[in-house]
Amino acid sequence: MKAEKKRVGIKAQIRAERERGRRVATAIFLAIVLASAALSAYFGYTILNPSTPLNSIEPSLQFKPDNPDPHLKAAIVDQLSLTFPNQSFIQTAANTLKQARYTVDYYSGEKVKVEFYRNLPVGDYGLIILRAHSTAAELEGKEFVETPVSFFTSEDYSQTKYVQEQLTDQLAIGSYSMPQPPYYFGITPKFVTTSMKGTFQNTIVIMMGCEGLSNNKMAEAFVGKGAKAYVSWDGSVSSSHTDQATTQLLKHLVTEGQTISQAVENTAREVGPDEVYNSILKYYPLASGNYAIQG
Amino acid sequence: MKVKRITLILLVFLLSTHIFQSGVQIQVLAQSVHVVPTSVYVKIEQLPYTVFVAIVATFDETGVKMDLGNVILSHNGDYTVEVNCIRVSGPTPGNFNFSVVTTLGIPDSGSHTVYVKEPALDRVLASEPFTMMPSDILFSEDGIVAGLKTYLNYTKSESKTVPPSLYKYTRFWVNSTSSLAESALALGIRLNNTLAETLSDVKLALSAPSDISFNVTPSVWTYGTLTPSASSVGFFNITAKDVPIGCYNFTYALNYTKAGGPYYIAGVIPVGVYLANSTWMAGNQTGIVDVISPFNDTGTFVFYNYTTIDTIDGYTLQLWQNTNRSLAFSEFTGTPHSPFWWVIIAAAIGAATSAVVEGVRQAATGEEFSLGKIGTAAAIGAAVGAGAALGLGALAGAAGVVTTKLIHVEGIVLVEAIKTVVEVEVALVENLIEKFTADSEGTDNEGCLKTIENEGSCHVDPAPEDKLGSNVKPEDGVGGLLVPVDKFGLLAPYIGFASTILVATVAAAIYVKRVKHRKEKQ
Repeated sequence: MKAEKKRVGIKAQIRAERERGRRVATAIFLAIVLASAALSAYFGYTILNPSTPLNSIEPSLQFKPDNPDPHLKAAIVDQLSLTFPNQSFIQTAANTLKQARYTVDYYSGEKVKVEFYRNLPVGDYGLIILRAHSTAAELEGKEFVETPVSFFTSEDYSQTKYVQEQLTDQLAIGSYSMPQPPYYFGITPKFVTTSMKGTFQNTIVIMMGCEGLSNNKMAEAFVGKGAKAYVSWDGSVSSSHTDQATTQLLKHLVTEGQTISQAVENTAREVGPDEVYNSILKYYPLASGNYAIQG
Repeated sequence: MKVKRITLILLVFLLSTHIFQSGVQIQVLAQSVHVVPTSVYVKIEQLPYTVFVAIVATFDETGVKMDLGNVILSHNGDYTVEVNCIRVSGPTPGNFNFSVVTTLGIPDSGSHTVYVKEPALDRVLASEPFTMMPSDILFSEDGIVAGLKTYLNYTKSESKTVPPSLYKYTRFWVNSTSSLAESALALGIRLNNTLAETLSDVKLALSAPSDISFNVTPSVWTYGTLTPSASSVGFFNITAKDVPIGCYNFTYALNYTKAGGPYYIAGVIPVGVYLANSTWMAGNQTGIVDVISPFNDTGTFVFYNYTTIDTIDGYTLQLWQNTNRSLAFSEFTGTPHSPFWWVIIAAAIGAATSAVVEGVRQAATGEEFSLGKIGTAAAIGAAVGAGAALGLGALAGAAGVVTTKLIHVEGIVLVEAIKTVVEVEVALVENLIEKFTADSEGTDNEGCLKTIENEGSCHVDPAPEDKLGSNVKPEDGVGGLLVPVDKFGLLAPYIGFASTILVATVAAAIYVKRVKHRKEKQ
């Protein structure tokens, strides 16, 4: 009797053990499924929620002449307004353009984000003045290596934004003064080629930042996208010098109707190379040298 | 058991992926946190040979520090002083003040603005305009521009005993009784002919008040002929004997002939007379100078720990490492002027006393007499004096922490200012030596050497790069640098996503299999 009781007790114990094991396994399984679901939701949200693409960006200001020519539109993209503001340059440039019957859209620094550049061709501008930081150098370890020219946006860098563009080298990380934050998204020539919407219509692009023509990659990308000419510096430049030069360039190009080659040469002669960095104003492609803006 | 093991491995993998993700975030957060002060106070004062800038920032947390960064000169003549406001602990709420000081080299005459900027935050914290007064223009009339500089006995070092900010009252200072260090203080007056016609028979007469014991030698300097755009320098030795302290007017009279007719320009040069008594204690290599400024400010300077330092250009300069000083400011200079009025007065007194004590030291030790060294001592003394004024509470009205910090900062003031002054000094000396050499080779057409025995000196403006000073750099370019994109970091969410799907799938498969297996068993 005693022995039978004992046997039943052991079986019951084993059964109970198994049952407990089953419950633990089920609990672990449910925990894994729940954790997976939560993580999937998080990662899925991160991956599948790119920033909302915009079709156009409203300018911060618009300068309109008294008798605007509907075909003459210009943009001043003033990303430098955040670090090197120069209101008198903006006013002078806008006045020069207005006098030539251009309607001028002015974009202040905070508007100059990745989506802004993406939509730049959509604005249908005949003349784009990019007053922005730019560079053609990358810090690799302790060494600087030359890279295709990149423009700075004012959009803070994030690992979770524009992942595809980052993975495909369309966007870079830019810093004004290395090696310290803040870091911003930088636009590379690949972005111009791949992600910019629409095409430029014989646009003249004046890139006022550093090293815009220290190599031709960005210029090629713009011309490939339909720009007529791309004017920039072959090295670093200070803000006051580039402002002064661009004022002169606009006067020759827009007011006096000089060809690109004449305007660039005259400007270079008048303002000289940058006093500190010795950079010179150039244009691309050479074939655009004889092109003049039709007034 | 197998199932448990696989589940555990998957869990660990999942967890590590998540930790990696978090690591990326933490890495970003671990970078220095820059904070914005609640208010920033900027005080600017023109000192001899440079401009002094003090920045006091108030924070609403205590665990912060403010480091001085670059000082950037833009092409339009404005300066940006970068200050890094960094949280070192906390945030711990509370009021906290921090100050930094710097100098601006030698700005051009005219209007400038100093911007105080937090570079990491790209934010201008404050701006303050200032006007750099011309430090050497005596007059500009009828197309003739006259510049005035003071020299020590025609040596290549200019004396720096008068802060430009005091030009309203005095153009230079002389000791009541010319001492060894200041014997034959020389005025160099340069005339520039900006006219399109030649001036002939150009003579400048300089005279001191007749009833005071000044001696001006020569009393008339003959410049001769000044062709269009030409310039020439005339030198006048000034000595004094027991002249009471105060301000006096020297008078000048310029006579010249233009287009056959005589012309005449006259005016006054205000001169300050100070009194400095010095002693040199050879035993412990200590110098003591008591000084009374032309405005009745008094100061006692004790110089000790005489030493040598090497400048960046390979010069060896001798100076005192320590200076004890006490200064008392008169009604005239003390109130109601700004506290920085004290700084410039102290700088002037410092310059004078350093020059005096160096001269006395040289005489006492029998060292070969070096006026260049005295000039340098004067420059350093100016910095010491400026620092002294700060140490005495230039911003005493501000919060307690500021006062403490300023006293603490005094060392920095001295180090920075001395460095700047010494470098500018060296640059000037080099320029002058260069000019002197050129003149000696017979290329001079300005009469510098022709009329002064043995030694000569010409007014030479510092080169543009010297104007920048030691801590001012040119305007930054509108460029930047790229940093490589961490593509693995970018992929981390994808890896995480894929791994969670994988884990969920495997777990589901195992579970289904187990359930099926159990049913089959039953």
